[in-house]
Amino acid sequence: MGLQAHFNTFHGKIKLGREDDAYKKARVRDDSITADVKAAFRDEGYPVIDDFLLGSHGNNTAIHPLSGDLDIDRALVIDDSQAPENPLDPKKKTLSVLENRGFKKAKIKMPCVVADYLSDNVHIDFPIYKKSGDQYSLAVGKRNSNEQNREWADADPKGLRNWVKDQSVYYDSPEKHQQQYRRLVRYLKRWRDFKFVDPTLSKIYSIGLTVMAKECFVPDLNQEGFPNDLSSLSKTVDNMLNNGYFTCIDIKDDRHKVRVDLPVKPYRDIFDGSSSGTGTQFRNKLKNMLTKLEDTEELNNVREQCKLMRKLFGDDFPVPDLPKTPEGKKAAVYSTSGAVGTSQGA
Amino acid sequence: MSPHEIVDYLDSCGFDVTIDGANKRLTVVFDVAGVNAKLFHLFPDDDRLEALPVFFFENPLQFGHLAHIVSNESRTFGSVCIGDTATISINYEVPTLVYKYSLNRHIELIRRAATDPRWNSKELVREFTPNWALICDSNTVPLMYCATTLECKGSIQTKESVPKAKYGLKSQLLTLGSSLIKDPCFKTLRESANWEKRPLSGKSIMLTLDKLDPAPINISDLQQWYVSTIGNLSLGSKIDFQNHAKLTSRRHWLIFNRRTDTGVVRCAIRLTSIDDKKGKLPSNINECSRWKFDPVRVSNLDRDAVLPRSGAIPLLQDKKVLIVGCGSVGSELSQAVACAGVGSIHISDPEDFTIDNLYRHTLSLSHIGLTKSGCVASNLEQHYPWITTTWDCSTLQSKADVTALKQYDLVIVAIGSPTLERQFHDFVSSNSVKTPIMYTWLEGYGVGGHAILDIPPSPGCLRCAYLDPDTCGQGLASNLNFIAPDQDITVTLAGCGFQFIPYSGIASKSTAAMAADLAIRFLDGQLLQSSKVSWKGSSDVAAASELTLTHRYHHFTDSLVIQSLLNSECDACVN
Repeated sequence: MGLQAHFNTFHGKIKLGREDDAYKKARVRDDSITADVKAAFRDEGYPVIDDFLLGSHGNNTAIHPLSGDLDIDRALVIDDSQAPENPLDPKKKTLSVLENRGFKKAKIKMPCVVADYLSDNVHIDFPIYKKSGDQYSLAVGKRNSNEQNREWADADPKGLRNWVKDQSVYYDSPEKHQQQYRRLVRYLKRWRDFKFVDPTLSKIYSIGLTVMAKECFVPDLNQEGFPNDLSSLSKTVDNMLNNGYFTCIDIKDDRHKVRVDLPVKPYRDIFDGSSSGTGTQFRNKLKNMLTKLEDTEELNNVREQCKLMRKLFGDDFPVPDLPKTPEGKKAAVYSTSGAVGTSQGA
Repeated sequence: MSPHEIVDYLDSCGFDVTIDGANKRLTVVFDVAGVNAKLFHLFPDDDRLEALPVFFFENPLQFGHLAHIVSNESRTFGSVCIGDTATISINYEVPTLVYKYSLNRHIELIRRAATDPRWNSKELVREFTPNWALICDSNTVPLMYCATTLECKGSIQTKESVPKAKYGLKSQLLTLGSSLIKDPCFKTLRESANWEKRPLSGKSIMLTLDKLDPAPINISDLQQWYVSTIGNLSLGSKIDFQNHAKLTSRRHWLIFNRRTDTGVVRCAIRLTSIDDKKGKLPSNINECSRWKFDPVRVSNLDRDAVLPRSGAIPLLQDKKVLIVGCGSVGSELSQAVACAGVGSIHISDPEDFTIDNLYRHTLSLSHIGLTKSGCVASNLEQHYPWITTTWDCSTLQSKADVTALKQYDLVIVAIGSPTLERQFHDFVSSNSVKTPIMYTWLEGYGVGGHAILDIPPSPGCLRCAYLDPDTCGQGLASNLNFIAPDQDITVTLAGCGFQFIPYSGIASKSTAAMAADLAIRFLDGQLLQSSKVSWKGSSDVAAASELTLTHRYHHFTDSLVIQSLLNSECDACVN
């Protein structure tokens, strides 16, 4: 097996998809609460006209957390003509639904209402939007925010998701390129989870990694369509370090701040308010990652390459055993199809 | 184009040039090792230059017999052969430069021939055949086709053409070495030439020469040439001559053989008794008087002459190839491998030939209903005299036999069945079969064709070409393919009730030619590593049928480029 096969195995382990039990369980919870919230909104006179997943699950880049909760972001959308003037009203209604269901720690945060299923390690965020035509507005404000600190703020939740999913940027084989990009995002998230600790860990936002990777993505597929994730990740990380996201604020101590702007409305800095400590750590660890990736590219031995990757991503990255027989081994991974139609003839 | 302009220009370049005869004749005097020599050129009536201007060499024998110069009968001037002028592209818009170029080439050749005797001698031997042909008269004695081998040791038979035959080998004079008269390998040629039905002509002998005098300039010099040649025979040839000279006949045929760097030079003389009485071969100039000497052009039918002259490789004669699958690709492949010179081909295919493949197969209407393998084998033997073919109606599965596979230098699989090919590969791989195996197939809609060659023990195998790019695991469709898998690619013609993959004879020929090239490079020792090669065609037809093409199709730019087969993700090849 070559290194790509091991990357595929690693990806299979970390990827959290719809077929995973953990996700299915979380969705059951999410669907159940959503149904109750919808009923409550309907009773209040502002029925939900749309709901969709945001975040990692919306972008299909979710991974199994190393520790902590599995996150789901469920957007609820009401019609602008029926929406209350006070953006806190639907948030309070949501909170009351959650509290009625027994959530002791349900909370109204600035951008959303949150609920934790402690027993299942599931954390669900409910951002609430109103929609007028194509224009979305997010209900912003905490429970006791006054008029100055609450608003229906311009937003574009689907725009960001569409931007991430957009394949028109790829010249050809868009699906293959997008798949490689998504794998890279998952690798970066797992790297973050493995290499950082709180409080910095929670400040390296997934959406930041997602946007950086998309803007800096360098695909690597050979003529036959075989991906080379190592090479792609190496070039992408190199781009991330040199794309102007990191600004030096102290040359002597090499301290940096990080700024990554949302590519859609409201175009805000994703890392707004983060400290130079966060920026500096983020940059330094990315540089370290790049060095390891480049060192790995120089190696000829797959086992040694895997060992280096384990230092970046943790034990989920497989390291093959030493080969026992010099020849005659069959490929370990079989096709999952029973049969495939081909165009081969003679 | 003005003759004076040419003269003035050549004069300005330092040539000693004059023009006379109402501006028709250009004469150039030049020096050859201190001796004056002359070339002349006759300007054409029209101004148009379509080829290099021709110069004639006055007094062509002043420096002896020079190569590449053919004298006229009176030996007053000679034509100078400066090469194949048809392939030279001339600058007809600037005739002065063309004349200068041509004149320089003429002078250089004459100087070299006159001052480098070793080169001149070598060239005279090299151009012996066309010079000999100049003194032959095909109305007197037609072209002789002659085939022999070392085993014949000079013993040959000459037979006149088949009576009333007007074309083909039957209508030609034929001489065969004694060992070829019964050799099964030559059976097709003998049958084609109708050897048995031909009348024997006189007594024949082949003599191998150590030294070959230049061809006589005139036919009147032939007897002198003959006497000089037999006077210079080596000891072995002299003995052969003396033994043959004891035989009497009204007609004798002498075929002279001289091996050179570039092949065998062969010519013949027919001696016919003037008084119609039997006689022995003359051994001196006096004895020649009772014989009529006719020079004969000889076309060399030896395998070692015919194969390289027609592009085949003689060294492949002892190679043995198994071809499994005799469909559109397999039949063309058999032809291509045979014409490259492979000496032994076994063809396997269980099916009969049907009309469905008429326009994309080497077989024709007369073969409908017959076994494809047998018919293709027979066709090959009809076409190529030195090939041995065998055939059977078995399948690829039945070839999974380690001992049987050992006898072949190469096995080519052209059945277009990925399942059976993968299974065969599993057998070959798990039994460590050493015989190299080639798998070749084409894709429909003219998008392309592929061939892979697995050469144990070099890394790279069929599995490398079947790895799934998405999983790096075993796939069911080849990753070389240009049409994405799992699409409806077969079509049905109204009423025929059968589904088929549409492709043309051009596609199968292209695939076969490409695969044959790969096979021959391996058999010829040029290729040592497991390899793959593809050709890519247009996507128009596939696009019109709304078929999805693979990533490889869109990125592939290496048509006909032989690449390494090894895929670094292959478990079987990379530990």
